[in-house]
Amino acid sequence: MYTDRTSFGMIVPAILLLCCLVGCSGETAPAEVVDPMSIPAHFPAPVYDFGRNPVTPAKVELGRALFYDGRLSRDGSISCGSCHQQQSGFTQHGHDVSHGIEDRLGTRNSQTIQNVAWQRTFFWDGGVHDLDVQPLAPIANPAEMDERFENILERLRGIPAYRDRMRRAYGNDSVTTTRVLQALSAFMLTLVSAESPYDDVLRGRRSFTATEGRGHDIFARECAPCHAEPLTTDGSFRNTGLHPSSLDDRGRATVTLRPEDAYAFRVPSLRNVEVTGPYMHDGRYRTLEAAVRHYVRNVTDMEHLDPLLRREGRTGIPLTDDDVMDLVAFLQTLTDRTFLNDPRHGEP
Amino acid sequence: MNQISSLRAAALGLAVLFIMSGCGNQTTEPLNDGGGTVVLEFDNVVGPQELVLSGPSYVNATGESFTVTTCRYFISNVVLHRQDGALYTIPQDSSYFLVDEAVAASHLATLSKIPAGTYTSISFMIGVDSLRSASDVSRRTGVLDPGAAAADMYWVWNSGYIFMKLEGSSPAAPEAPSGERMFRYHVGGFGGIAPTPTINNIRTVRLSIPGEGMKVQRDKKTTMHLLADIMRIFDATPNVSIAANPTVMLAPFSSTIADNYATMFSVDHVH
Repeated sequence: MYTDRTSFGMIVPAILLLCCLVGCSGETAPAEVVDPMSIPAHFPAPVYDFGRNPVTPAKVELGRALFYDGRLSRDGSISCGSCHQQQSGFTQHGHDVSHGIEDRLGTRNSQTIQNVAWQRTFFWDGGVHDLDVQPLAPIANPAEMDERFENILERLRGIPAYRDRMRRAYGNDSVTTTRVLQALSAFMLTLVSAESPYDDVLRGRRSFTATEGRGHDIFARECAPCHAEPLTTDGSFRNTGLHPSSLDDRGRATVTLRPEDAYAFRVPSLRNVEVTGPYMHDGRYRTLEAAVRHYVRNVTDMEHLDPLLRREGRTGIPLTDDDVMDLVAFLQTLTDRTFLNDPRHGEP
Repeated sequence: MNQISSLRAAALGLAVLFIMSGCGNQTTEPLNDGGGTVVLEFDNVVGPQELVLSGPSYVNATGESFTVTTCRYFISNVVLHRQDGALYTIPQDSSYFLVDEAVAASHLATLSKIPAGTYTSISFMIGVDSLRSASDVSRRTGVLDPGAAAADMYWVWNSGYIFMKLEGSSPAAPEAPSGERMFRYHVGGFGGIAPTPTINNIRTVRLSIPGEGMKVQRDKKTTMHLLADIMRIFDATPNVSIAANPTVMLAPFSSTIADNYATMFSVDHVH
């Protein structure tokens, strides 16, 4: 999981895994512990604790099978991949809010799954603090997969292919909450997007074009205070002056109950933003340009509007039409075709 | 040669340590010559009556009648206080219990290897401590398994356990389209983890053991009979009205309900 494969950090989790399996089951663990994850050198240190869930090829294979399996939903129709499609940066393309089981509608736009090893909280309101328990939410949500986790465990126990995958990943075929969740985490952790043209610039392999370069200058000045480089998010929650819809989704405040968090939502990563439309927590903007122009002219003056969007008594970020075009050109350099087409990430 | 064998010994030691930390059902409690067993028996009552699910109507201090369909709560981090001032903290991995009125076996919480002596009080948490709430999912097995035993006592959208769930029907509750008049109290909130602070509804209670206290003897079983008076959820300071608060989940008022249920436990007797 680290670029330095000889680091001791790799060995301890392997011993830990082996010992646990020996201790609990009397069987031996798979000998192979090869690192299927690579940590880009130009990224900061990940926040996920790999020590407790070593990412092994067998666990990733199991997690990938689970991710794309509709049998995780009540009627077999919806898999994780239904609302998180690789070609769309693991979002549900073209839908303002996600469509779940029986075409029921959620209330929010499905988020990307990429670089989750660097993500401290999950969902638009950050209510989930750990990747390992994240899948419990869409599985239980009546508008998404609408299934009891226990039913899934029971179903998987009856499928020989899953018992084989469990054995390969964990040394025996016991199907538990922890194993299913950690395997899903293992697969999602491998979804690392770091091969975009922007990354090539950071690595010194290419340069921005003139318009991309101007866009990056604007981005660094006006956007990066929240969309911090190179992950393009600082992981914070901000009220960006999106006028509340009739649904009156109060965002982060529904979790923290703090008035100052009213209508604050996650600052999303902008990696692959070109293909993840529509935009914002409720998918209200259908094009990237419209999403950018929100910050120029649509910012609503609200009580807890982020201070960065209020200057000298005016709301929003003053940008010319040319600035917007340059900014969009820069944002398109965040499209990682390698990631979006990587066969390892797709349906098995 | 010596080096190799000491390495082996170290490796074995490491392995033993990992086995113990890796498997939730094994604990590192100190050996104390076996000690005695204490069974906590949680008896849910409503004032002077036994609680019966979907049974008779009870009337709270506000004058509202209600029946109870669901009553569950977590008890954790049990500590026994000995007459001589010593404390015995139950090893944490063996100290999580989910009491569900609908499941008779869950009313009994067995504490093993309790050092002999006379105990005068007991303390425990109603709910699940923040450290465990935030811990690795592999450390949350048994009654804490969010995908199985705890599935109905866990908020998936705001990660954390529901500490106490009381549901029932009452003419004082508003009528749903289905015609039902339900009240629902789901109290949780462990304080959250940075950067996400949440409400903190963890309550710790300390109860004195009446009479001579509780004598624990080696290789003997002692049962502590605790009463949990559900009526205290409504009739404490302040009174809780079903009409005014038919549904309480993650909201500031949940702390009032937590304060109230923190007064509902007492040790009735020991035998």
